[in-house]
Amino acid sequence: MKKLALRFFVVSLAILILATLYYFQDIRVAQGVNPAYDNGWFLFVLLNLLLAFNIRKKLIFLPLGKVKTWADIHYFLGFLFIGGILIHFNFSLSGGLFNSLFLLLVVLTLVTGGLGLYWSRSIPKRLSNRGEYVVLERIPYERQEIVNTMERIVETSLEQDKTIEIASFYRDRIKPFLLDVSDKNDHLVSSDKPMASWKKQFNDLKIQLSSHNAGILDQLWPYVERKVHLDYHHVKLTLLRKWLFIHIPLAYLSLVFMLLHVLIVFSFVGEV
Amino acid sequence: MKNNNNNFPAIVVQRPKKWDVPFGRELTDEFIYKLLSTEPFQQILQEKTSNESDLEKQKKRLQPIINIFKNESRVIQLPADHPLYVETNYGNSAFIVLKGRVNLYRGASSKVSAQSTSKKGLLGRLVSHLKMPRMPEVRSIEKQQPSVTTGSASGVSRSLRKYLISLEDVERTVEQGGIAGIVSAMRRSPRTFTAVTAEDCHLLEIKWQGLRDLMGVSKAFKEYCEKFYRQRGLQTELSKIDVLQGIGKASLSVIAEKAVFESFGKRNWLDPGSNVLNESVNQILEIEPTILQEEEYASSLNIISNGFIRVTKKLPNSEVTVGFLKPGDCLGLYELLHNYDDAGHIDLQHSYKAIGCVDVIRIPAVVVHEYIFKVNKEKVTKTLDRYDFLTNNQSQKLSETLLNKNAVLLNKLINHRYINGTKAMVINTEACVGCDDCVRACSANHDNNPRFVRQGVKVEKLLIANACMHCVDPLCLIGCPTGAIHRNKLGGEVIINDDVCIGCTTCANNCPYENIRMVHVFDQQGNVMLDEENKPICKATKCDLCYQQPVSPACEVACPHGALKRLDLQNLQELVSWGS
Amino acid sequence: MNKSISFRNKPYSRPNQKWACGKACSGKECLLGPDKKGSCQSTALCQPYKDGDRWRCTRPTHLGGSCEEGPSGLGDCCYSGGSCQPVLSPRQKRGKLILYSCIAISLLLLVFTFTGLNQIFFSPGPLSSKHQLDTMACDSCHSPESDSPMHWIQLAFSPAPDDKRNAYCLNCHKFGEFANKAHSNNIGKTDKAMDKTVACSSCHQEHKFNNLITSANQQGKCNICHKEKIESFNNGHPEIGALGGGQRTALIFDHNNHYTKHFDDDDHSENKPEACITCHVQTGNGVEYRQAAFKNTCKKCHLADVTGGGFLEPGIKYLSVPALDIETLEENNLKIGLWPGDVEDEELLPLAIWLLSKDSELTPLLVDIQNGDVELADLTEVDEATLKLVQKLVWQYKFVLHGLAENPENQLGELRSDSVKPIISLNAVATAVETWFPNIKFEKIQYERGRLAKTRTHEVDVKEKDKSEINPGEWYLKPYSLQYRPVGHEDKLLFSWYAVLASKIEKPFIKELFNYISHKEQPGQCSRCHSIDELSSQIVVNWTETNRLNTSKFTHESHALETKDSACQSCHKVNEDSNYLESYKAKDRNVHDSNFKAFTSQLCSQCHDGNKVTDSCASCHNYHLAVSKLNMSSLVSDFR
Repeated sequence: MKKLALRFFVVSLAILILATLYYFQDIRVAQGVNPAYDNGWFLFVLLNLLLAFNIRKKLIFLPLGKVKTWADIHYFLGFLFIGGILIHFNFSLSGGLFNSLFLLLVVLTLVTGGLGLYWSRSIPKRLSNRGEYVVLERIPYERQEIVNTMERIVETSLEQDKTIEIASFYRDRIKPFLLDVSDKNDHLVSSDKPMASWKKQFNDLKIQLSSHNAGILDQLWPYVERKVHLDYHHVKLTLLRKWLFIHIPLAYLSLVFMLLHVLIVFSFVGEV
Repeated sequence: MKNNNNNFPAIVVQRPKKWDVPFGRELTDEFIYKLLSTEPFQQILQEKTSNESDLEKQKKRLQPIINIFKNESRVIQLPADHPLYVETNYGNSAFIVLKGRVNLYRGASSKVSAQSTSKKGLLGRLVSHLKMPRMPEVRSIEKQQPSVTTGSASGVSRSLRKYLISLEDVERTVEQGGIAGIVSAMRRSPRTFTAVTAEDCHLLEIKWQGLRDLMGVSKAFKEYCEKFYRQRGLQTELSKIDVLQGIGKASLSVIAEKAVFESFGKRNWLDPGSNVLNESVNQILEIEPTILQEEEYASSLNIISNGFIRVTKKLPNSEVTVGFLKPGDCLGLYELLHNYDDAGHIDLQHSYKAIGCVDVIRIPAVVVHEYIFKVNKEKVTKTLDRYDFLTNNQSQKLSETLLNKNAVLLNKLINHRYINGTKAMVINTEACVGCDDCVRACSANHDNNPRFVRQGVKVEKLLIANACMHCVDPLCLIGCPTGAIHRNKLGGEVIINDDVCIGCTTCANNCPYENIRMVHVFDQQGNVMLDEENKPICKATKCDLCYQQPVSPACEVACPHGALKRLDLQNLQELVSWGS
Repeated sequence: MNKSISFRNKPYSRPNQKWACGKACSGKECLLGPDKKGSCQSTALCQPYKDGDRWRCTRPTHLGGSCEEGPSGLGDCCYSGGSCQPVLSPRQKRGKLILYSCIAISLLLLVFTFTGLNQIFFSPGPLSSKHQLDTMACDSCHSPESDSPMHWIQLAFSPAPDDKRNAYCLNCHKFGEFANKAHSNNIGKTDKAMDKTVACSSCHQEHKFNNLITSANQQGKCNICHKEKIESFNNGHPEIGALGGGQRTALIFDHNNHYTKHFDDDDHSENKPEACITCHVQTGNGVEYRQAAFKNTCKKCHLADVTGGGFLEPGIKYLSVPALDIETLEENNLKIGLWPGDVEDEELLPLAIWLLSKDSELTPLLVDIQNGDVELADLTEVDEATLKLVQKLVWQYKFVLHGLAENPENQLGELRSDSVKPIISLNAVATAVETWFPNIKFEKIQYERGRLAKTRTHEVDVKEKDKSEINPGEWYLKPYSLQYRPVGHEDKLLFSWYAVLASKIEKPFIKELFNYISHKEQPGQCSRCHSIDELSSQIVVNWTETNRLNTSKFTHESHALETKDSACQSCHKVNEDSNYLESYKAKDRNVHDSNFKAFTSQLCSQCHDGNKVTDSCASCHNYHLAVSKLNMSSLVSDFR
């Protein structure tokens, strides 16, 4: 209930701010001032506040409030920025190569930000449902552990029971799969194909084995399953890291363009 | 001196040893002999020298004791009206009054808790951030060399006195030969009084490791301490229990006299190498000693003094956990009350098992009837509200009980012994994106070194990460030879004094949760510090809750998705409401 | 498998470090990690110790204690498997990406900024279609230094004033001397707002970006200065009022009179215009309907007026011999020499008065004569001093006329026209002088010697011409007057007299002369149709319609109106009760009682309601009240 009330308040606040910005334009036009200056400065301040979030994360030792609060404000300001941009350009595309590039940069920053927010909310839930929680940097250790354990099982069974079919299955199919991240594209779209594919392979082999050997094969299954989960985690966790590789550089570039835009506007239009 | 071997870039330093850093200015042998002839150490002297007439042999027998005194204690002189320690603070030492008197007060702590003198200022923090080493685990070579540090007298500054404004009635006075602060030092629990010198005093401050060692070498001294505890400490402890509130001092002293102490489970309830956390529930239940069995006669009121108790209910073929009890809770209260009301007789409805090591104070039923129920029955009945999980589940369907989300969560927490944690790092895996901002923030607050690992046991959707939980009963404190790992006086955080740590790995091995890590240390140039035998100098490291930093804990503040929180796992409600 | 592996003895994960071990991706991370510079330090797990002859493993207890294998014979740890290739941590990679991309883009921007490409790159969109000429460049509208980024910085902090920026527009678009003022005109109001410089760019956005300033929004622009804020034509706009803002037309034509009286007259009924458009012809751009040429319209009835044919006397009297009371002068022994006798009904004309006014002694007498206080024909009651002045006046008149014939420039002085020289026929004057004062030369010599000729009269022998014998444009002599018959419409001589006199109207006696010549009963009849404005210090003769204030840009063509009378009268409704002619007597263009009723806003708002058709200010009103002329030379000079 409290969350709902808070969301309602935030949305109302955003609408209020944007509506004020929009209708304030008429007042400025009546005063003979181009309102693009006002909402331009508004956007300038917004962009700096948005970038301040990154600075806050770097200076974590300063008592400036929780980063979660800053993050929520960052999302709010991001949505405000969309509205602000539309008002600034008056819902029409601007002319000129520089302005178009600038707008493109800003749009890409906003789009990547929105996507990042969506992924940050949706991916952890999906990860929680598929396998154990794992740290990205630790995945290689787990992979190595899986390799060691499976090789032990296969070697033992080969020694004791001469399970050549299992050994060759391991050598030809499983081992290459274990050495690195596999099926990246499928995992990117959260497809069940890799798991289903392995299940099928195991089932197909199992029906051709004796019950004893089938039991040994069953011992291998949890590790393959774990590896599929690890790959899924790897792909999704990497995505959760990599989107910032685009969003943050674009944001800083937008700042560079914005500064130049301010200079151009003031030097050629001349009204303050 | 740089080593010329090519395996590591290394530098040789002197290895820090246990008593490299004495507690205080060195006590002379003569002084210690004199001390041993005074109360309360006389019994040690008598015990050790009674059968030996040869002076030299006497001295040889006494040498270990002398060493303990020399390295684990110090003499301090304080003027009148000087605070020794403050109620609710944590303390690591006891004070034996050699000369003078010490007054003990209640209720003076409220002002002091606002004080946080150990935190760094912003400017200092900024400066240290700029000076932060870029490489991991950099230490100053000078600090690895032993040096005498006297430390400040008593660790509590005179200026603290001005905060103690509400000192009214003296609860008790500790005279010459008496010991102040022994309960909290031995139990590693918060101070129960505020101690202030009544006049100019000479005190012997002895660390709890010293007390432990002395009790280890002298049975007489151990008995003396326990007796002292029983006379003084037990009554104090009993007076804090809600069931015994308002029954009067006289009744309390009778109860203290009649009460029986019992301990269940091993002190160090996690042997190195044991795998209790990985075993199945049934195996765990078999390991845990039973304090009270279901369907037994309720013959006494059992109050938990220390540790945790699992409450179980029998099923035809198994046993199911319904909850846990913590220090201050009572076992058998419901049954005793029911039987006292004469509304039919019932036996114990549940079994109670000791999780780890538990100390219980057992009060016979007769005493309970006479001194508690007769006087205070209404109040006592009200306290039963706390135990609703024991009384209500009779009517609930069993499957609901078993599959209730909270029950499942609780079981897992108990089985993994996480209920010990007061500041467990709980990560909501459905919100965590693995950005490592928490680890980076932790590093920023600790000279570029993280102090936890963002991985651990998953309980439902919550992950209990490998970060020190600052347990109620910290096992890591047991066995530390130097006292490097101790409780911070003010906030009670378990912290490691890096300069004093000798890297013996006792605490790291003792911690059942893998929350303490040993690290190699380096000099400013990045050379590994080795001793003369090329063995690396290692230090124990762990989360200290950023107790000295302006922003604490940094991990919780730094999480941009609110996925990380430091929670008291005894408060299930808080955990459930945050996790939902 | 239901639990992750134990990391008890594994190193901390350090995402804050710049470099990560290269073997971490295979789970065999080394103990020490890379050094500051990103080099592998060691993959060994211990630093073996030489105890006597043997090397001992010194692996710490928490990593397993001394290993079974032990160090090699050379003292190397048995676990060291060669160095790794450290990799940058993801955060560092991201930091480098940010840095490099910012540097790259900044360099690119610098290249664009400091080279000739900056005009293409930073241009905020194409120019309007009319400005897309080969001759247009950035410095056509911006200062010549506008391609210098240093100049941008200077401009950003001290922008050019509006008039300096306007100068670029005004290079080609000429709006006259008041171009920088509101409405490009000096409307004459004293409001401070009118003194402000209005930047062209406050309404005209040249580059196509930021469509905020669209025509729809120009409404807001008008209301910035106009105190009476008008929302739209249908909201707050005052009634439209009469055509021309209540100002009268330059040409005087009483529609009511003509249609109710003159055109019904049998003599003129055949000349009645067939329709409105017979006289009102459409101008080239369909803006308005202008008066058709005289020869096609008014001439049919008024030719006689303009040529004097309709008058008893077809010519304008310029000079005359005034009737003089010679007897009284003789009685007072005041000699005046030879004077024409039997002069009756002639007065001293205004031209003569002006010619004589050069003698300041005569001025009081001339004023009296003009006012009628002194009659030259009857001097019986005039005092002696005045009589003496009259004597002087008579002599001066004779000499002035003589001088006019001999040396016209001297006499006429500032009454000089550039188009007609001289402004009076000298032959005619000479003949008149010869006729009226045949002894003038002799008398002048005598006069100069101080001997005045005796008063004598003589008979003037002039054959009076019949009206039909007098040609238009001819100077002709009558017994006692010299007259000029106008040529017809647009008589240059008359036009010159009007122009010259109007330009000197402040001089003494000129106004009376102008009034005399421009009297509507005089042949020529210029002022009968062409209105005259008497301003505070000048007189304006309205020969054409161009001087009327027009702030609207209504075009008949755009409204696709038919040319039937009914269509004209749907807006131009006749006001039968107007006092049209009377209003011209005020000689003030702002005083007018039009033949047509004022327009009502309701007429226009049937369509201009904001829905069917826009009702903004700019849809009907011109901002620029001065006509813009394109300075073609500024364009042509750039052609090669």
